[in-house]
Amino acid sequence: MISTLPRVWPRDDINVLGIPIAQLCAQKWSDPRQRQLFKNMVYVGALTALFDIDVDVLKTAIVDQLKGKEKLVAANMEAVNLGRDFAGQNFHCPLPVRVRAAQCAKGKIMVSGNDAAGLGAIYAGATVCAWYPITPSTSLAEAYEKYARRLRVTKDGKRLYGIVQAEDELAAVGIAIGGGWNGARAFTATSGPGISLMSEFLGLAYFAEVPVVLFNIQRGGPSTGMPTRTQQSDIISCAYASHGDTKQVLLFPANPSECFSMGAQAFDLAERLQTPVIVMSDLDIGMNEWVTEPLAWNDAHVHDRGKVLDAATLEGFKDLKGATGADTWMSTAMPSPTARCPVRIPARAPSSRAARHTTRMHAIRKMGACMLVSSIASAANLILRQRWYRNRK
Amino acid sequence: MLEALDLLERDGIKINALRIKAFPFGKEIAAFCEDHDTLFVVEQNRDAQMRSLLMTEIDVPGGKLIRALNYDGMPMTAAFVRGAVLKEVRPAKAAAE
Repeated sequence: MISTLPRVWPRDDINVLGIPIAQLCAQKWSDPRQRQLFKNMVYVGALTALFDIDVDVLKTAIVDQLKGKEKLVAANMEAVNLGRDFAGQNFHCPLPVRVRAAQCAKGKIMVSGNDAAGLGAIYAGATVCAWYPITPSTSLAEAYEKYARRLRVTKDGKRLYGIVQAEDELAAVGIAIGGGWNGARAFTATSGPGISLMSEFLGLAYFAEVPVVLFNIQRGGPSTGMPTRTQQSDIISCAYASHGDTKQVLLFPANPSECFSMGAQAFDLAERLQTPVIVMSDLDIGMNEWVTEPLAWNDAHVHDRGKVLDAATLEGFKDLKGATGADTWMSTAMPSPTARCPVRIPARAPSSRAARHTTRMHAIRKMGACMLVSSIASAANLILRQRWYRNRK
Repeated sequence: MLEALDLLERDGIKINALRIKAFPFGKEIAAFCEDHDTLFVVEQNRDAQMRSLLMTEIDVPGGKLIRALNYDGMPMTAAFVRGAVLKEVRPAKAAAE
Protein backbone atom coordinates (compact mmCIF):
# COMPACT_ATOMS: atom_id res chain seq x y z
CA MET A 1 0.00 0.00 0.00
CA ILE A 2 1.47 3.34 -1.12
CA SER A 3 0.42 6.49 0.61
CA THR A 4 1.60 10.09 0.36
CA LEU A 5 0.70 10.72 4.03
CA PRO A 6 3.69 11.44 6.22
CA ARG A 7 4.57 8.66 8.64
CA VAL A 8 6.17 10.97 11.15
CA TRP A 9 4.00 13.71 12.64
CA PRO A 10 5.07 16.68 14.74
CA ARG A 11 2.52 15.61 17.38
CA ASP A 12 2.68 12.47 19.48
CA ASP A 13 -1.11 12.16 19.82
CA ILE A 14 -1.65 11.25 16.16
CA ASN A 15 -1.82 7.59 15.11
CA VAL A 16 -1.94 6.65 11.44
CA LEU A 17 -4.15 3.78 10.26
CA GLY A 18 -3.62 2.91 6.59
CA ILE A 19 -6.58 1.84 4.46
CA PRO A 20 -5.89 0.95 0.79
CA ILE A 21 -9.00 2.74 -0.48
CA ALA A 22 -7.88 3.09 -4.12
CA GLN A 23 -6.97 -0.59 -4.22
CA LEU A 24 -10.31 -1.65 -2.68
CA CYS A 25 -12.21 0.45 -5.22
CA ALA A 26 -10.16 -0.90 -8.13
CA GLN A 27 -10.97 -4.47 -7.08
CA LYS A 28 -14.67 -3.74 -6.55
CA TRP A 29 -15.57 -1.64 -9.59
CA SER A 30 -14.40 -1.87 -13.21
CA ASP A 31 -15.73 1.56 -14.23
CA PRO A 32 -12.93 4.15 -13.64
CA ARG A 33 -15.51 6.81 -12.77
CA GLN A 34 -17.07 4.65 -10.06
CA ARG A 35 -13.62 3.75 -8.75
CA GLN A 36 -12.97 7.46 -8.25
CA LEU A 37 -16.41 8.53 -7.00
CA PHE A 38 -16.84 5.90 -4.30
CA LYS A 39 -13.47 6.47 -2.61
CA ASN A 40 -14.97 8.96 -0.15
CA MET A 41 -17.82 6.65 0.79
CA VAL A 42 -15.42 3.75 1.42
CA TYR A 43 -13.56 6.07 3.78
CA VAL A 44 -16.78 7.10 5.53
CA GLY A 45 -17.70 3.42 5.86
CA ALA A 46 -14.37 2.65 7.54
CA LEU A 47 -15.00 5.52 9.98
CA THR A 48 -18.38 4.05 10.98
CA ALA A 49 -16.60 0.88 12.11
CA LEU A 50 -13.65 2.66 13.76
CA PHE A 51 -15.76 5.18 15.70
CA ASP A 52 -18.85 3.02 16.22
CA ILE A 53 -21.08 5.37 14.21
CA ASP A 54 -24.67 4.20 13.75
CA VAL A 55 -24.92 3.07 10.10
CA ASP A 56 -28.67 3.76 10.03
CA VAL A 57 -28.02 7.42 10.83
CA LEU A 58 -25.48 7.52 8.01
CA LYS A 59 -27.95 5.90 5.62
CA THR A 60 -30.58 8.51 6.51
CA ALA A 61 -28.06 11.24 5.69
CA ILE A 62 -27.18 9.59 2.36
CA VAL A 63 -30.86 9.25 1.42
CA ASP A 64 -31.38 12.90 2.32
CA GLN A 65 -28.36 13.98 0.28
CA LEU A 66 -29.40 11.95 -2.78
CA LYS A 67 -33.02 13.04 -2.91
CA GLY A 68 -34.26 12.50 -6.48
CA LYS A 69 -31.37 10.13 -7.26
CA GLU A 70 -32.59 7.14 -5.22
CA LYS A 71 -30.86 4.65 -7.50
CA LEU A 72 -27.51 5.82 -6.17
CA VAL A 73 -28.32 5.03 -2.53
CA ALA A 74 -27.71 1.28 -2.87
CA ALA A 75 -24.38 1.82 -4.67
CA ASN A 76 -23.22 4.29 -2.01
CA MET A 77 -24.18 1.92 0.79
CA GLU A 78 -22.22 -0.81 -1.00
CA ALA A 79 -19.15 1.46 -0.82
CA VAL A 80 -19.85 2.20 2.85
CA ASN A 81 -19.98 -1.50 3.65
CA LEU A 82 -16.75 -2.14 1.71
CA GLY A 83 -14.85 0.31 3.95
CA ARG A 84 -16.69 -0.88 7.04
CA ASP A 85 -15.79 -4.52 6.40
CA PHE A 86 -12.13 -3.72 5.75
CA ALA A 87 -11.84 -1.74 8.99
CA GLY A 88 -13.63 -4.48 10.94
CA GLN A 89 -11.26 -7.17 9.60
CA ASN A 90 -7.99 -5.24 9.95
CA PHE A 91 -8.27 -3.05 13.06
CA HIS A 92 -9.53 -3.40 16.62
CA CYS A 93 -12.93 -1.83 16.10
CA PRO A 94 -14.27 0.26 17.60
CA LEU A 95 -11.35 2.45 18.70
CA PRO A 96 -11.25 3.94 22.20
CA VAL A 97 -12.45 7.24 20.66
CA ARG A 98 -16.10 6.89 19.74
CA VAL A 99 -18.95 8.92 18.32
CA ARG A 100 -22.04 8.89 20.53
CA ALA A 101 -25.44 10.46 20.04
CA ALA A 102 -25.84 13.35 22.47
CA GLN A 103 -28.36 16.04 23.27
CA CYS A 104 -25.83 18.89 23.28
CA ALA A 105 -27.30 20.36 20.12
CA LYS A 106 -30.86 20.36 21.39
CA GLY A 107 -32.58 23.66 20.63
CA LYS A 108 -29.72 24.76 18.39
CA ILE A 109 -29.55 25.14 14.63
CA MET A 110 -26.95 24.37 11.98
CA VAL A 111 -26.08 27.25 9.71
CA SER A 112 -23.07 28.91 8.13
CA GLY A 113 -22.15 32.49 8.98
CA ASN A 114 -22.53 33.66 5.38
CA ASP A 115 -26.04 32.20 5.16
CA ALA A 116 -26.96 33.89 8.44
CA ALA A 117 -25.40 37.21 7.37
CA GLY A 118 -27.32 37.14 4.08
CA LEU A 119 -30.52 36.68 6.04
CA GLY A 120 -29.44 39.44 8.44
CA ALA A 121 -29.15 41.81 5.48
CA ILE A 122 -32.70 40.88 4.45
CA TYR A 123 -34.03 41.54 7.97
CA ALA A 124 -32.17 44.84 8.01
CA GLY A 125 -34.06 45.88 4.89
CA ALA A 126 -31.08 45.88 2.53
CA THR A 127 -32.24 46.31 -1.06
CA VAL A 128 -28.96 46.71 -2.93
CA CYS A 129 -26.21 44.10 -3.08
CA ALA A 130 -23.25 44.76 -5.34
CA TRP A 131 -20.45 42.26 -5.25
CA TYR A 132 -17.58 40.64 -7.07
CA PRO A 133 -16.96 36.91 -6.43
CA ILE A 134 -14.18 35.99 -4.04
CA THR A 135 -13.89 32.97 -1.77
CA PRO A 136 -14.91 32.86 1.06
CA SER A 137 -17.47 35.67 0.71
CA THR A 138 -19.32 34.56 -2.42
CA SER A 139 -21.82 32.42 -0.54
CA LEU A 140 -22.98 35.48 1.44
CA ALA A 141 -24.15 37.33 -1.69
CA GLU A 142 -25.67 34.07 -2.95
CA ALA A 143 -27.52 33.59 0.35
CA TYR A 144 -28.86 37.15 0.16
CA GLU A 145 -30.10 36.48 -3.38
CA LYS A 146 -31.70 33.20 -2.30
CA TYR A 147 -33.62 34.84 0.55
CA ALA A 148 -34.43 38.03 -1.38
CA ARG A 149 -36.01 35.97 -4.16
CA ARG A 150 -38.35 34.51 -1.55
CA LEU A 151 -38.87 37.40 0.84
CA ARG A 152 -38.35 40.60 -1.17
CA VAL A 153 -40.93 40.19 -3.96
CA THR A 154 -44.45 41.57 -4.26
CA LYS A 155 -47.44 39.28 -4.77
CA ASP A 156 -47.35 39.96 -8.50
CA GLY A 157 -43.70 38.95 -8.66
CA LYS A 158 -42.06 42.38 -8.73
CA ARG A 159 -38.59 42.28 -7.18
CA LEU A 160 -37.93 44.88 -4.51
CA TYR A 161 -34.17 44.44 -4.52
CA GLY A 162 -31.23 44.88 -6.85
CA ILE A 163 -28.21 42.59 -7.10
CA VAL A 164 -25.29 43.56 -9.31
CA GLN A 165 -22.37 41.26 -9.95
CA ALA A 166 -19.91 43.97 -10.84
CA GLU A 167 -16.86 43.79 -13.11
CA ASP A 168 -14.48 44.11 -10.14
CA GLU A 169 -14.33 45.05 -6.47
CA LEU A 170 -13.90 48.76 -7.18
CA ALA A 171 -17.14 48.83 -9.11
CA ALA A 172 -18.89 46.66 -6.52
CA VAL A 173 -18.23 48.99 -3.60
CA GLY A 174 -18.86 52.01 -5.82
CA ILE A 175 -22.33 50.68 -6.65
CA ALA A 176 -23.01 49.94 -2.97
CA ILE A 177 -21.92 53.47 -1.97
CA GLY A 178 -24.11 54.86 -4.75
CA GLY A 179 -27.01 52.89 -3.32
CA GLY A 180 -26.33 54.27 0.16
CA TRP A 181 -26.06 57.82 -1.20
CA ASN A 182 -29.47 57.47 -2.79
CA GLY A 183 -31.09 56.27 0.43
CA ALA A 184 -31.07 52.50 -0.13
CA ARG A 185 -29.61 50.12 2.40
CA ALA A 186 -26.73 48.76 0.37
CA PHE A 187 -23.87 46.36 0.98
CA THR A 188 -21.06 44.39 -0.58
CA ALA A 189 -19.32 41.20 0.49
CA THR A 190 -15.64 40.55 -0.06
CA SER A 191 -12.41 39.26 1.46
CA GLY A 192 -8.97 40.74 2.19
CA PRO A 193 -7.80 41.32 -1.42
CA GLY A 194 -11.19 42.92 -2.15
CA ILE A 195 -10.83 45.28 0.81
CA SER A 196 -7.51 46.46 -0.64
CA LEU A 197 -9.22 47.31 -3.92
CA MET A 198 -12.21 48.92 -2.20
CA SER A 199 -10.12 51.13 0.07
CA GLU A 200 -10.04 54.21 -2.17
CA PHE A 201 -13.83 54.28 -2.49
CA LEU A 202 -14.14 53.67 1.25
CA GLY A 203 -12.32 56.97 1.75
CA LEU A 204 -14.96 58.68 -0.38
CA ALA A 205 -17.80 57.13 1.63
CA TYR A 206 -16.05 58.06 4.89
CA PHE A 207 -15.45 61.66 3.86
CA ALA A 208 -18.82 62.13 2.17
CA GLU A 209 -20.59 60.44 5.11
CA VAL A 210 -22.35 57.85 2.99
CA PRO A 211 -23.73 54.82 4.86
CA VAL A 212 -22.68 51.48 3.40
CA VAL A 213 -22.06 48.00 4.84
CA LEU A 214 -19.18 45.72 3.90
CA PHE A 215 -18.89 42.10 4.93
CA ASN A 216 -15.23 41.09 5.04
CA ILE A 217 -14.98 37.31 5.22
CA GLN A 218 -11.31 37.15 6.09
CA ARG A 219 -8.99 34.48 4.69
CA GLY A 220 -5.34 33.59 5.01
CA GLY A 221 -2.91 36.19 3.71
CA PRO A 222 -0.85 38.08 2.80
CA SER A 223 -1.59 39.11 -0.81
CA THR A 224 -4.17 36.87 -2.47
CA GLY A 225 -3.30 34.35 0.23
CA MET A 226 -5.11 31.11 0.83
CA PRO A 227 -8.81 31.06 -0.01
CA THR A 228 -9.30 27.78 1.84
CA ARG A 229 -7.68 28.78 5.12
CA THR A 230 -8.99 31.03 7.84
CA GLN A 231 -7.32 34.02 9.48
CA GLN A 232 -8.28 37.31 11.11
CA SER A 233 -5.54 39.45 9.70
CA ASP A 234 -7.39 42.36 8.07
CA ILE A 235 -8.07 44.13 11.36
CA ILE A 236 -5.68 47.03 10.93
CA SER A 237 -6.20 47.35 7.18
CA CYS A 238 -9.97 47.63 7.79
CA ALA A 239 -9.75 49.85 10.89
CA TYR A 240 -7.90 52.49 8.89
CA ALA A 241 -9.05 51.49 5.39
CA SER A 242 -8.30 54.15 2.80
CA HIS A 243 -5.86 57.04 2.68
CA GLY A 244 -5.58 59.96 5.07
CA ASP A 245 -7.23 60.11 8.46
CA THR A 246 -9.90 57.44 8.35
CA LYS A 247 -11.24 55.29 11.13
CA GLN A 248 -13.82 52.75 10.08
CA VAL A 249 -16.43 51.11 12.29
CA LEU A 250 -15.79 47.36 12.63
CA LEU A 251 -18.02 44.67 14.12
CA PHE A 252 -16.56 41.29 15.12
CA PRO A 253 -19.08 38.41 15.06
CA ALA A 254 -17.98 35.21 16.83
CA ASN A 255 -20.48 32.75 15.37
CA PRO A 256 -23.20 32.51 12.69
CA SER A 257 -25.88 33.81 15.09
CA GLU A 258 -23.87 36.97 15.49
CA CYS A 259 -23.27 37.16 11.74
CA PHE A 260 -27.04 37.47 11.54
CA SER A 261 -27.52 39.93 14.40
CA MET A 262 -24.43 42.06 13.76
CA GLY A 263 -25.05 41.86 10.01
CA ALA A 264 -28.47 43.43 10.59
CA GLN A 265 -27.20 45.88 13.21
CA ALA A 266 -24.48 47.10 10.84
CA PHE A 267 -27.08 48.77 8.62
CA ASP A 268 -28.61 50.67 11.56
CA LEU A 269 -25.16 51.80 12.68
CA ALA A 270 -24.14 52.83 9.16
CA GLU A 271 -27.18 55.07 8.83
CA ARG A 272 -27.06 56.46 12.38
CA LEU A 273 -23.33 57.26 12.09
CA GLN A 274 -23.47 58.09 8.34
CA THR A 275 -20.35 56.07 7.62
CA PRO A 276 -19.21 52.70 6.26
CA VAL A 277 -19.48 49.77 8.67
CA ILE A 278 -17.42 46.61 8.11
CA VAL A 279 -18.57 43.26 9.53
CA MET A 280 -15.38 41.25 10.17
CA SER A 281 -16.28 37.59 9.74
CA ASP A 282 -13.84 34.90 8.62
CA LEU A 283 -13.69 31.78 6.49
CA ASP A 284 -14.34 29.41 9.38
CA ILE A 285 -17.43 31.25 10.64
CA GLY A 286 -18.58 32.23 7.17
CA MET A 287 -18.33 29.05 5.12
CA ASN A 288 -18.45 26.21 7.63
CA GLU A 289 -21.74 25.04 9.08
CA TRP A 290 -21.82 25.67 12.84
CA VAL A 291 -24.13 24.39 15.53
CA THR A 292 -25.29 27.67 16.94
CA GLU A 293 -28.05 29.45 18.84
CA PRO A 294 -31.25 29.99 16.84
CA LEU A 295 -31.28 33.32 15.02
CA ALA A 296 -33.09 35.88 17.16
CA TRP A 297 -35.10 38.83 15.83
CA ASN A 298 -37.42 41.22 17.59
CA ASP A 299 -40.41 41.90 15.33
CA ALA A 300 -40.96 45.20 17.09
CA HIS A 301 -37.53 46.41 15.91
CA VAL A 302 -37.68 49.69 14.00
CA HIS A 303 -34.74 50.35 11.71
CA ASP A 304 -32.62 53.28 12.82
CA ARG A 305 -32.28 55.37 9.68
CA GLY A 306 -30.43 58.20 11.37
CA LYS A 307 -31.36 61.75 10.49
CA VAL A 308 -33.81 61.61 7.61
CA LEU A 309 -35.18 64.56 5.68
CA ASP A 310 -38.85 63.99 4.91
CA ALA A 311 -41.03 65.98 2.54
CA ALA A 312 -42.35 68.26 5.31
CA THR A 313 -38.81 69.14 6.47
CA LEU A 314 -37.80 69.87 2.91
CA GLU A 315 -40.76 72.24 2.58
CA GLY A 316 -39.43 73.99 5.69
CA PHE A 317 -36.06 74.42 4.00
CA LYS A 318 -37.80 76.11 1.11
CA ASP A 319 -39.23 78.64 3.52
CA LEU A 320 -35.76 79.21 4.91
CA LYS A 321 -34.45 79.81 1.44
CA GLY A 322 -37.23 82.29 0.77
CA ALA A 323 -36.61 84.11 4.04
CA THR A 324 -32.89 84.60 3.53
CA GLY A 325 -33.13 85.07 -0.18
CA ALA A 326 -29.94 83.01 -0.50
CA ASP A 327 -29.53 79.91 -2.59
CA THR A 328 -27.23 78.14 -0.15
CA TRP A 329 -29.53 76.09 2.06
CA MET A 330 -28.90 72.77 0.47
CA SER A 331 -25.12 72.83 0.90
CA THR A 332 -25.43 73.41 4.63
CA ALA A 333 -28.50 71.30 5.26
CA MET A 334 -27.37 68.04 3.73
CA PRO A 335 -24.15 66.17 4.45
CA SER A 336 -23.73 65.76 0.74
CA PRO A 337 -20.67 64.96 -1.35
CA THR A 338 -21.62 67.98 -3.40
CA ALA A 339 -21.30 70.24 -0.38
CA ARG A 340 -17.83 71.43 -1.41
CA CYS A 341 -18.80 72.04 -5.02
CA PRO A 342 -20.99 74.85 -6.31
CA VAL A 343 -23.60 72.33 -7.44
CA ARG A 344 -27.15 72.70 -6.25
CA ILE A 345 -29.62 69.85 -6.06
CA PRO A 346 -32.98 71.16 -7.28
CA ALA A 347 -35.65 71.43 -4.58
CA ARG A 348 -38.09 69.46 -6.72
CA ALA A 349 -36.99 66.53 -8.80
CA PRO A 350 -37.49 67.06 -12.55
CA SER A 351 -40.58 65.25 -13.71
CA SER A 352 -39.41 63.31 -16.73
CA ARG A 353 -36.50 60.93 -17.12
CA ALA A 354 -35.02 63.14 -19.86
CA ALA A 355 -35.21 66.18 -17.59
CA ARG A 356 -33.57 64.26 -14.75
CA HIS A 357 -30.80 63.18 -17.10
CA THR A 358 -30.23 66.76 -18.28
CA THR A 359 -30.06 67.98 -14.67
CA ARG A 360 -27.62 65.25 -13.75
CA MET A 361 -25.37 65.97 -16.73
CA HIS A 362 -25.47 69.65 -15.86
CA ALA A 363 -24.45 68.86 -12.29
CA ILE A 364 -21.61 66.61 -13.47
CA ARG A 365 -20.33 69.27 -15.86
CA LYS A 366 -20.42 71.82 -13.07
CA MET A 367 -18.49 69.45 -10.82
CA GLY A 368 -15.98 68.94 -13.64
CA ALA A 369 -15.62 72.70 -14.00
CA CYS A 370 -15.15 72.99 -10.25
CA MET A 371 -12.35 70.40 -10.36
CA LEU A 372 -10.73 72.20 -13.32
CA VAL A 373 -10.78 75.52 -11.45
CA SER A 374 -9.32 73.76 -8.44
CA SER A 375 -6.52 72.27 -10.58
CA ILE A 376 -5.69 75.67 -12.11
CA ALA A 377 -5.59 77.19 -8.63
CA SER A 378 -3.26 74.42 -7.44
CA ALA A 379 -0.96 74.94 -10.42
CA ALA A 380 -0.88 78.70 -9.83
CA ASN A 381 -0.14 78.12 -6.17
CA LEU A 382 2.74 75.83 -7.08
CA ILE A 383 4.26 78.38 -9.49
CA LEU A 384 4.02 81.14 -6.87
CA ARG A 385 5.64 78.87 -4.25
CA GLN A 386 8.51 78.04 -6.62
CA ARG A 387 9.08 81.74 -7.33
CA TRP A 388 9.05 82.54 -3.64
CA TYR A 389 11.56 79.76 -3.00
CA ARG A 390 13.91 81.02 -5.76
CA ASN A 391 13.68 84.62 -4.53
CA ARG A 392 14.44 83.51 -0.99
CA LYS A 393 17.72 81.96 -2.19
CA MET B 1 -12.48 30.52 24.35
CA LEU B 2 -14.92 29.41 27.06
CA GLU B 3 -13.52 25.89 26.77
CA ALA B 4 -9.97 27.26 27.20
CA LEU B 5 -11.03 29.17 30.32
CA ASP B 6 -12.53 25.95 31.74
CA LEU B 7 -9.32 24.03 31.01
CA LEU B 8 -7.23 26.72 32.67
CA GLU B 9 -9.46 26.74 35.71
CA ARG B 10 -8.83 23.00 36.03
CA ASP B 11 -5.10 23.89 35.96
CA GLY B 12 -5.72 26.24 38.85
CA ILE B 13 -5.55 29.41 36.79
CA LYS B 14 -8.64 31.58 36.96
CA ILE B 15 -8.80 34.21 34.27
CA ASN B 16 -11.23 37.06 33.61
CA ALA B 17 -12.07 37.41 29.94
CA LEU B 18 -13.34 40.17 27.73
CA ARG B 19 -14.45 39.79 24.13
CA ILE B 20 -13.98 42.74 21.81
CA LYS B 21 -17.10 43.10 19.69
CA ALA B 22 -16.47 46.38 17.92
CA PHE B 23 -13.99 49.05 16.92
CA PRO B 24 -13.53 51.95 17.80
CA PHE B 25 -13.25 50.64 21.35
CA GLY B 26 -15.81 51.39 24.05
CA LYS B 27 -15.03 52.60 27.55
CA GLU B 28 -15.50 49.08 28.96
CA ILE B 29 -12.45 47.86 27.07
CA ALA B 30 -10.24 50.65 28.42
CA ALA B 31 -11.56 49.98 31.94
CA PHE B 32 -10.89 46.23 31.65
CA CYS B 33 -7.33 46.84 30.46
CA GLU B 34 -6.73 49.28 33.30
CA ASP B 35 -8.11 46.85 35.91
CA HIS B 36 -5.71 44.03 34.97
CA ASP B 37 -1.92 43.89 35.18
CA THR B 38 -1.44 41.13 32.60
CA LEU B 39 -3.56 40.73 29.50
CA PHE B 40 -3.37 37.92 26.94
CA VAL B 41 -4.52 39.21 23.56
CA VAL B 42 -5.69 36.12 21.70
CA GLU B 43 -5.73 36.65 17.94
CA GLN B 44 -5.69 34.79 14.66
CA ASN B 45 -2.95 36.71 12.91
CA ARG B 46 0.85 36.91 12.95
CA ASP B 47 1.36 40.55 13.77
CA ALA B 48 -0.83 40.99 16.87
CA GLN B 49 -3.02 43.52 15.07
CA MET B 50 -5.63 43.86 17.82
CA ARG B 51 -2.86 44.35 20.37
CA SER B 52 -1.50 47.18 18.23
CA LEU B 53 -4.92 48.82 18.11
CA LEU B 54 -5.25 48.59 21.89
CA MET B 55 -1.89 50.31 22.25
CA THR B 56 -2.50 53.06 19.70
CA GLU B 57 -6.18 53.74 20.31
CA ILE B 58 -6.60 53.54 24.07
CA ASP B 59 -2.96 53.76 25.22
CA VAL B 60 -2.70 50.37 26.90
CA PRO B 61 1.00 49.87 27.81
CA GLY B 62 2.50 47.28 25.47
CA GLY B 63 4.35 45.56 28.33
CA LYS B 64 1.16 44.19 29.86
CA LEU B 65 -0.29 42.94 26.57
CA ILE B 66 0.97 39.39 25.94
CA ARG B 67 0.59 38.02 22.44
CA ALA B 68 -1.28 34.71 21.91
CA LEU B 69 -1.16 34.33 18.14
CA ASN B 70 -2.51 31.52 16.01
CA TYR B 71 -1.96 31.84 12.26
CA ASP B 72 -1.67 28.35 10.80
CA GLY B 73 -4.80 28.78 8.68
CA MET B 74 -6.90 26.55 10.90
CA PRO B 75 -9.47 27.64 13.50
CA MET B 76 -8.03 28.23 16.95
CA THR B 77 -8.39 25.43 19.50
CA ALA B 78 -8.93 25.63 23.25
CA ALA B 79 -5.69 23.63 23.67
CA PHE B 80 -3.78 26.39 21.85
CA VAL B 81 -5.13 29.13 24.13
CA ARG B 82 -4.41 27.04 27.23
CA GLY B 83 -0.86 26.35 26.00
CA ALA B 84 -0.23 30.04 25.25
CA VAL B 85 -1.33 31.05 28.76
CA LEU B 86 0.54 28.24 30.53
CA LYS B 87 3.74 29.10 28.66
CA GLU B 88 3.69 32.52 30.30
CA VAL B 89 2.15 31.77 33.66
CA ARG B 90 3.99 28.60 34.75
CA PRO B 91 7.56 29.96 34.49
CA ALA B 92 6.43 33.12 36.30
CA LYS B 93 4.86 31.01 39.06
CA ALA B 94 7.94 28.83 39.34
CA ALA B 95 10.18 31.88 39.60
CA ALA B 96 7.95 33.35 42.30
CA GLU B 97 8.08 30.13 44.29
